[in-house]
Amino acid sequence: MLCLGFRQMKNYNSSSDRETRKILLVGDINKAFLDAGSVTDKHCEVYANMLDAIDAAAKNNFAAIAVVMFGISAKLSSALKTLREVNSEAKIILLAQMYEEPIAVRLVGSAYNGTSVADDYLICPVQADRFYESIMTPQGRTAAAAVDATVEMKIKQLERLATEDDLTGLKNRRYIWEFSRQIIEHAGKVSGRVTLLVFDIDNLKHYNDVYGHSAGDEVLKQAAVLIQRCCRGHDVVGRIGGDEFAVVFWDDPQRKAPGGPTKGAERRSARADHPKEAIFIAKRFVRELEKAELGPHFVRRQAENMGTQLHLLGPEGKGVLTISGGLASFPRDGSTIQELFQQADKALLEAKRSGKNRIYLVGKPQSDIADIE
Amino acid sequence: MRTITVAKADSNLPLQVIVVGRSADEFIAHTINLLGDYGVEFVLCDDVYSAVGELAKSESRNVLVIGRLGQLSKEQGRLFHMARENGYTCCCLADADLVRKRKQIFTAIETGAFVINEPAEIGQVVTKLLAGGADCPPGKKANDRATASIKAEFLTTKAELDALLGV
Repeated sequence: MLCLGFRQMKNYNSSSDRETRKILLVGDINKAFLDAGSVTDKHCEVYANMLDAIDAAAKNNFAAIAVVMFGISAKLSSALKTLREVNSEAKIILLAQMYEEPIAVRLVGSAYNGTSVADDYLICPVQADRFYESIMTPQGRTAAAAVDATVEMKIKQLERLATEDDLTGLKNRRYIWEFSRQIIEHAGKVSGRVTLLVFDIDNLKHYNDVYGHSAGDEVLKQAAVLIQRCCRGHDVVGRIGGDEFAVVFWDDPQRKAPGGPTKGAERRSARADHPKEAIFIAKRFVRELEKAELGPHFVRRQAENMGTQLHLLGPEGKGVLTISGGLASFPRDGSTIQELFQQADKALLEAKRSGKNRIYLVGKPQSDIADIE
Repeated sequence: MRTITVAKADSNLPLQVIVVGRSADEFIAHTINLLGDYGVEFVLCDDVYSAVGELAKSESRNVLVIGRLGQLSKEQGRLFHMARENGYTCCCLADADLVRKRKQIFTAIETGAFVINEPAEIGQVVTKLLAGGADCPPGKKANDRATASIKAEFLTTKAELDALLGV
């Protein structure tokens, strides 16, 4: 089960609530649950259409309303306000795909009549049991308050452990893989595009061997900071192996990015042959690496400590940290996450064989992105 | 849901009206004025979601929902179907981009909604309903509720489509 973004739910006051009040589920439950079949039991009413759900919410006293955001996130705010209005006692929970998390966070944070339009969100896919458990815990709010804080902290720790890379704080391989799977599926439906950059640090083994593993770790951490700084807010960056990183660039033609291009412009760029923004960002990252302060500071510190001659890093250390990478785009280079990773890996390998310090774009022939205008 | 109740209440009037849209919209403003002139109580809802919330609370079956086609046909035109199932009446303005919205118009017509193509035509619909003239229940003689010009346009479109498809 991958259950991210989970936060401790408010609890209900008595077990009778749990027994008598149902949960209203709205949307495509197959997109939200690992075991959607077990959701449709007596505690749950499921509606695919939001208007039917609003009608039901107005006529029944539901314990909670869970809204699957998949496919309806663009017009969700108005619908949620109405759900809140017609059934003010129900807790409203959003079931968000990974890439919908920023919207879910915004909705949970947005106020309406002094309360937020949604109380919490869960990241899909979730297991039905876990879902019920999270909203139907039969403990009084007051009594549980002290426990809640500790439990919430532990849950957050677990979330972090499950999804983040310990060393760099970036997302881990599992997260990247699941996110990529979800975003590719979504992109297939909305004619969006996804570009995957897989890269690794050139000669990291040498750093480790010459300066020790703590120095190698420092290089990884600094590279992580730099790549994140170069990417857009919604791009997802992760460390997927020892010195291997991945960035998932994505654009949704149905959604206007804050401060981004217009819907029409997004559509046009989505049809472009090359993943232009991804190439631009990758180039920026390479440039940032070249001029990174990481080299001199880090090298001097290491040299002072260890009295080592740092030939590899050159006299000033600048520009010594390089990467090799491969870029592959959906749907051009592959239609599944496996295919995309395979293609990007192949390009990365080719970049390394060609002398490192370059990023290859998958295609025929493969091209160094440095040569692309 | 931001629901504003405007105009005077008159319990003798059997018709409950829900207007869907923003008052800044020309058609909505015209409708509000008209209803005010008739002394009809109505509820103004921002969108189709709050309109459905309002409908769910309503105990009356004599309800008229007025709005633009684009707004009322959101969520796969479910409001039109709900209206037919519950005996409500819908009236929508389809005044632009008719070809692209043909599917929504067909849904509206099929489910017994009034479809008008001029804001001013709303007056005829309200007058007819206030006079107890909603004599064709939802779903029955549905096409009679579309104004002549809309009907002509769509009969032509349908004929053209049929010809293209070789039906």
